[in-house]
Amino acid sequence: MKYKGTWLKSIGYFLLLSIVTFIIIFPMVITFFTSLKPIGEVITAAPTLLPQHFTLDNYIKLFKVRNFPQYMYNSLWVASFTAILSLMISSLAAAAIVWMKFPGRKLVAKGILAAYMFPQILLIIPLFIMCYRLNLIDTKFSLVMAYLSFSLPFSVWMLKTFFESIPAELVQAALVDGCSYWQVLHRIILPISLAGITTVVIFSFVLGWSEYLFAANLITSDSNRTIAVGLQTLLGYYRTDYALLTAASVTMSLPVYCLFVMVQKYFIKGLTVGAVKE
Amino acid sequence: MKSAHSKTSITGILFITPLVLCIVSVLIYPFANGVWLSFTNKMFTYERYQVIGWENYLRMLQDDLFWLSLQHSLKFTAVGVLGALLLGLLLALLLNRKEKYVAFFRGLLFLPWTLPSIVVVLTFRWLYNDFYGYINYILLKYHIIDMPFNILASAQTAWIGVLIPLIWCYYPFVMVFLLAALQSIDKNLYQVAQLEGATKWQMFWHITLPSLKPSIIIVAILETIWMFCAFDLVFLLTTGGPAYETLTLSLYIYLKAFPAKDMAYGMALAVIMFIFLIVFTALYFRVMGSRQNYEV
Repeated sequence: MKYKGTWLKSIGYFLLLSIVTFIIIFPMVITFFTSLKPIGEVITAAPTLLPQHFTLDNYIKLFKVRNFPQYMYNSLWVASFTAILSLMISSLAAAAIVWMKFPGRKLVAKGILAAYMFPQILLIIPLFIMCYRLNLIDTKFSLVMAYLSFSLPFSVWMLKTFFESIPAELVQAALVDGCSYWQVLHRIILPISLAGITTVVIFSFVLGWSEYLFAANLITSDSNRTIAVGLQTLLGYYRTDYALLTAASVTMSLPVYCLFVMVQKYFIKGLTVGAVKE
Repeated sequence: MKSAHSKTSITGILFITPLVLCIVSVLIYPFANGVWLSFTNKMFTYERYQVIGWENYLRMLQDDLFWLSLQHSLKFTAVGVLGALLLGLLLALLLNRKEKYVAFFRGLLFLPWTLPSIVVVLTFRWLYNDFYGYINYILLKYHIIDMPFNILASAQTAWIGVLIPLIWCYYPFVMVFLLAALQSIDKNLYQVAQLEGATKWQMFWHITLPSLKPSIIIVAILETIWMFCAFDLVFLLTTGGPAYETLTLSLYIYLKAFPAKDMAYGMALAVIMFIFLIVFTALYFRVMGSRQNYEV
C-alpha cells in the first residue's frame, strides 16, 4: 500500500514537472515547430502546435536570403576571435592571481569582480567615441575589442575558481623538479582545468555570437553585420513571414543552447561558486 | 619556498599585464574619458566642444523624461526582481529531487537564459501579435477576451508586456543558483526535524528558507543590477513607447546619445546610472564579505 503511494507520487511529480516545463518554455517549443511548418500553416486563424506537414523549406530559403550566410560568417569570426583572445589573456591572468605574487594582486582580483558587473549600456557611448577616433567603426575588430571588456572579467573569475581547486603542492612539486611556470601551465594546469577552459571559450563565443547593442552601433555596413543585427534586418524585410523568421531564430539559438548544455554543469558551478561557497 | 615566490614575481607581472592592459584600454580609460565628456557639450562625433561644467547635470534636474525614466527603471527592477526570484525559487524547489531525469528538465528550464535577446524579442512580438499571435488565439478561443489586443500597444499594459520576457530571461539564473544552495543544505537537519514530528511546511519555514537567505540576498542584488541596466529587450520590444510608458533609464541614455546625438548628455545620464550601480555593488560586496574572506 505504502509502496503504491510513493509510486503514484513520483508519477505525479513527473507529470507536474513536465507540465510546468512545457508551459514555461512554450514560446520556444512553438518557435521550433513553426520553423518546420509550410508557410500556409503559419498564418492561419487556427494555428496548431505540431506541423501537419514537416518541411525544411524555411531553412533552405533562409540560406538563400539576402546576406544571411554572410551574417553567420561575421558572427563566427567575431565570436571565435573573442573566445581565443579571452582564453589566452584570462588563463595567464588567473594563473598569476592564484599562484604568483605581484603588487596589487588583491586589487586586481576585486576589480575583476566589479568589472564583471559593469553593464554594457554604460560603455557604449565612450567605446563608440573611442572607436570613431581610432577609425575602427565598421570593423569586426572593434566588436572583438568591445566584447573583451565583458568576457575577460567573467573568464578570469571562472578560471580562478578552477585553478584554486588544483592543489598548490602539485604546482610546487613541479617547480622544485625544475619546470618553468610556462611548462607548469601547459603540462599540469591546462589539462586539469580543461572543463573551466571549455566553459570560458563557450561563454566568450556565445557573447560574441549573440550580442546586440555593440553590434548594432559599431557596425554600419551590411557586409560586416553580425547575426543578431542581421536578424533584426530580416525582421524589417520579412515582417510577416514568421516561418522564415522562426527558422532564423532556431538557426541562431540552437547552437548556443547546445553549447551551454554541454558545459552546463561547470558553467553553473563557476557562476555559483563565488557566492555559494560554504 | 620563499625564494621561489620572490623569483616568480616578475613572471606574475608578465602574466597579469595583458589583462590589465586590456581592461584599462577597453573599460577603465574609455569610461573615465566618458565621465569627463559628461562635463562638455560634445555632439555625436564632432570634435569641437567646450567644457560646460555641471550644466548637463543641472539640466537633468529639470528634465521630466529623466525623472520618468528613472521611476520606470526602479519600478521595472522591483517587480522584475521579485518575479524572477519567486519563479526561480519555486522552480528550484521543484527541481530539488534525486531522480535522474531532473537534470533533463533543469537543462530545458535553463533555456531562456541562453537565448540571444533578438530571438526572445522576435518570439514575444509574435506571440503578442493581435492577428496571428498564440496568446490572443488562446484567449479568444476560451472567451477570456472578446476583442484581440496587443499588450505592447496599450499604454496601460505595455510595461507588463516588457516585464514578462524580462523575467522569463532572468529566472533561470536564480533557479540554478538557489538549486545549488538547496543541495548544499545538510540533509541531517531534515531527518532530525522529521523525528521531532515537524510538518513539511515547518521544515521549509525553519530550515530551508533560513539556509537559503544569504544566497537569496546575493542573487537578488545581482538580478537588481542586471534588470536595472537591461537594454536589449526593452529597446527591441517597444523602444520606450507607447507614449514613453516603457522608457527606462538605459533606454533614455541610448536615445539621447545616439538618435538625438547628444553624447555628452547621454554620458551624464550614464554617470547617474553608474552611481546607482555603485550602491548596489557596494551592497553586494558587503554581503559577500560577511560570508567569506576575500583572501585570494
